[in-house]
Parts: sequence; structure tokens; C-alpha cells
Amino acid sequence: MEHRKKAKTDDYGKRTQSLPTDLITEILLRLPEKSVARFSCVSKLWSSITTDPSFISSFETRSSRQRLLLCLQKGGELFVSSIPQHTQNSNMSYSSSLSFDHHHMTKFKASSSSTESVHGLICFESENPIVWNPSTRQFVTLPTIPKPCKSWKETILFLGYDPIEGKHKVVCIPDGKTCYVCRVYTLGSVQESWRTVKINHKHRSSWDTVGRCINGVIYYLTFPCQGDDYIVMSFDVRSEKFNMIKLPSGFCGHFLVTYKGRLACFNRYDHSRFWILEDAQKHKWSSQDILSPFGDCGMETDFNLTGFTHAGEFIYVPNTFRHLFYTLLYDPVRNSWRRFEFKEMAGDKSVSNGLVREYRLHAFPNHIDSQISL
Amino acid sequence: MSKKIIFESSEGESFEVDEAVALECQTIKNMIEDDCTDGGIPLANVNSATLTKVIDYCKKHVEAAAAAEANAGDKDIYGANKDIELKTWDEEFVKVDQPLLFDLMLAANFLIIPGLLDLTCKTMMRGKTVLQIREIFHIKKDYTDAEEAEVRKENAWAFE
Repeated sequence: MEHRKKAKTDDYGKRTQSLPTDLITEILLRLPEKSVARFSCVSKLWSSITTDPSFISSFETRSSRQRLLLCLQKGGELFVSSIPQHTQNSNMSYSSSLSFDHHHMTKFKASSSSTESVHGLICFESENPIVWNPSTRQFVTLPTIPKPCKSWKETILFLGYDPIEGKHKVVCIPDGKTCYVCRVYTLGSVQESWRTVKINHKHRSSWDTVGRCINGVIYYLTFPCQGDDYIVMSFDVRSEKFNMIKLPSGFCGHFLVTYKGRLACFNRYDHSRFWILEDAQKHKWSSQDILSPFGDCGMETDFNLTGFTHAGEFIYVPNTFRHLFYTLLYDPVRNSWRRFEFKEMAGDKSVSNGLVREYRLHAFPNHIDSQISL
Repeated sequence: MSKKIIFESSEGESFEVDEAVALECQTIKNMIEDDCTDGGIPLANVNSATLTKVIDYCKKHVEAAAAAEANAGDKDIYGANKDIELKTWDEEFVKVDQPLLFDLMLAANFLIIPGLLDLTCKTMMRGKTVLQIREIFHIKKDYTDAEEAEVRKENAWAFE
């Protein structure tokens, strides 16, 4: 009996010995980050694959890994849920309910806004900025931002990621004022402190501006020193240099989103045409027309377009929690919808009781899991 | 009648499938586009048992896609999740012994069937320890005990 079993294993072994390196890579790319870290202990070959920069890069940016992170916030209480963005070739419209996970943020002041999710991290504005890694459930409160004068009372935060050095930076500019300098904080640096960086393109920020970090550059809408027409300011996370990009002439852009890995600008009232940045140096944009996925059903006013998944799905979140307790994803190619309902949050019955309206909803498209330690 | 493609397994057995089914394999799709499928496609590294399963998988997924197409007019945003049936089918499909699962994974990698490669890789690795992986793939531990302890320490969070 013992003998027979051994023979069978040997036969199987002969075939499995030829596990090609490209297949090991394919296998590892499909596993959760935790499993990959564990399997780097299998052998030196496996370890060399998992630590290879090109493996890390394709691992992190695999579209199937990107998720839409939804976060209901009331003070320091966060209820977090995530939706896979990968649609698996489905033409079907469907609806499902979300389960929520409870995170608790200490030292948290109410009514804080947040940056987008940048390479696994999110930054909340609070008395001191708070950086959050939802995957490791870690929060870190940054030191107080040194403010040169009273005009820095209100500030705006951006989060950027430099893919070459693999570093996150938090950038802070004064709100509503012309600024000559900004503060930059590099996460995970040896001397952790706010540095002063000169702004080589003076501009006046707008209170509701949101930063979009794409390929190591942060973009945000702002005003020139003179005039009230929006321009786009770019900040290179690595070189820490600012640049100005003009919007297409005659177009009034109100918000920026990341569309299929590129910067896109939308008008708040008219989503039927938006502009995609083609060449920042030449101020070149191309336009794209879209049909309202809501058609004539009149629901468009109840939802805000918060962005796109990497695959180009529209992400709509309700603009009020009074009666709409769901998020919608629309696929324009297949003309199909995915609907996710906020049912019950871990141990908290307030959703079913309708108390959910007390919460603020944050949506973070294209969020990736990161094990960066804060 | 749709065009047929003939596969030949490593044992020399012939399998006739619809072109639509064969197109699920990226490698075969390229061959069909290059018009070099006449007289059958020999698959020297895929045995009959594995090939039968691979064809079953492709057939099922072609049928599911066609059914989804037929229902595309249904734009009800409240519709139920009909993908569940296919997912259940997939789960049943990979309830096979380790050697066959391994062969399916190799075949999916060679024929480039993304869905099947995904399914087999994940099933193969699910819940496995480092020792089990070494055993399954016959990988010799090339770390010294001290080196292994070091690598484990670096990745301690993954063993929690």
C-alpha cells in the first residue's frame, strides 16, 4: 500500500517538476498580497519573483485588484465596504447588498473631507492630517502643519505617489489665497517633517478643489492670480515642480476625475461632453461625448458622478442619504448596471433604522490593497 | 452549420469542437486567425482527460455568454445576479484531484484561457502552507534554516 502510494507521487512529481517560471508568476499575480508574501518563503526563485519590481508593479495595478471603496463616516467611526471593479465579462445588470467593516479613527475632528485613494492610502483633513491605510487598518496623525501667517487658517490637502521612488507625499496649500509656498510631507522618510517648497507658478486655490494623482503627478483645478476662469495646476510628486495647464477654450470645467488612467475634466451641469488631457505641455485636450445612462428617468439629479473605474464604468453615489441607500455602477459598453445597497453595518443597525443619513459617504474608486506600514 | 476545429490530445485522440468553443483559447484564436488549423491541432502536452475537461469548460462559458447576450435587452437595474449559476458551476468544475487540477492549470496557461487559468491557480493555492506548496510542486528548500527564518521574519505579517 505504502509502496503504491509512493509510486503514484513520483509519477506526478515528474510532471510537476517542470513548473515553468512564467506560470509561477501567473499564479502569484492572482493571489492575495498576504499569500504572495507567505509564498516568498517557498524558495529563492519564488522570492526573487515576488521582489522583482516589474512583478510588484503588475501585481499592484492588475485591474482585478482595483476596488471601489465605500466609506460611511460619522466622526471617527468609519464603516467600510469594497466592491470589486472587475466585471467578469458579464452583460447582466444586477443588484447586491454590501456588508460593512468597522474602523475606528482616534483624534478625529468631525466634518472632514478626504483625498482620493492614492496607491492604497487615503488622507483625511482634520486638525492634523490623518493618513489611513484601509488594508492594514492603520491610521497615522501627521505633525501640525507649520503655518507662516493667518492666511493659512484653512488649508487644502493633496496626496500624491511617486511610482519611481515608491513614496507617498502629502501636499498642503492655503485655501482661497494666492500662495507662494506649499508644505510637503514625505511619508516614511527618515526625517519626518513638513518641508517648505516654493511654488514656481503662483495661483489662487478654490475651496472645493480635489487633487487627482496620475502617474506621479497631482492635478487640481485652481484660479490664476488674476481672473476667474479655472486652470489646471499640476504638481510633479518627484521633482516637486508646479506647472499650469489651460483648459480647452470656451469650456467651463468644474471637476477633475481619472478616466481610464488619464485626466478628465467635467462641467458640473452638463456631463454630455467631457475633455481628456492629451498633452500637458501643449495644453492639448480631446473631447468625448457620452449619453446620460439615466435616460429620461430623472434620477440623474439624485446621484453624483464621482468617477470611473479603470475599465470605464461610471460610478454614481447618492447625493443625499434621505431615501437612496445605494451606489450604482454603469457600464456604457454593455449598457448594464450594478447596484449595491447599504444594508447593515457591522453591529450597527442605523442603516436599517434610516439613521444612515447622519453619515457622510466617501467613495474611493480604483483603490488597491497596500501593505505599506504607516 | 458552424465551422469545426479538431484537437488532438497527447495520446493521439481526436476531439471535434465548434469554432466558437475553440476561440475561448487565445492561442487557438491566433492560429485560426492565421489560418493554420487545417488538419487538426496537435496538443502534445495535453492529455485526453485534461482536454475533455478543458473543452467542457470552454463550452459552458460560450453557452453562458450566449445566454447573457440573449438577455441583454433586460436593463432592469434591480435584476438578480445571474452570474451566481456560472460561479457555482466553476466551483464544481475544479473539484478534481490535485494532478488533474495541475494539468488543467498547465493547459490553461499554454492555451491562454484567462478564466480557467484564474480559476485553477486560485483553487490550487487556496489555503496552502509553504510546506504544502513545496510538496505539491516538488520544490527543494534552498534556504538554510537561518535564511528561511530571516525571510519569514521579513514577512511575519503574512503568517499571522
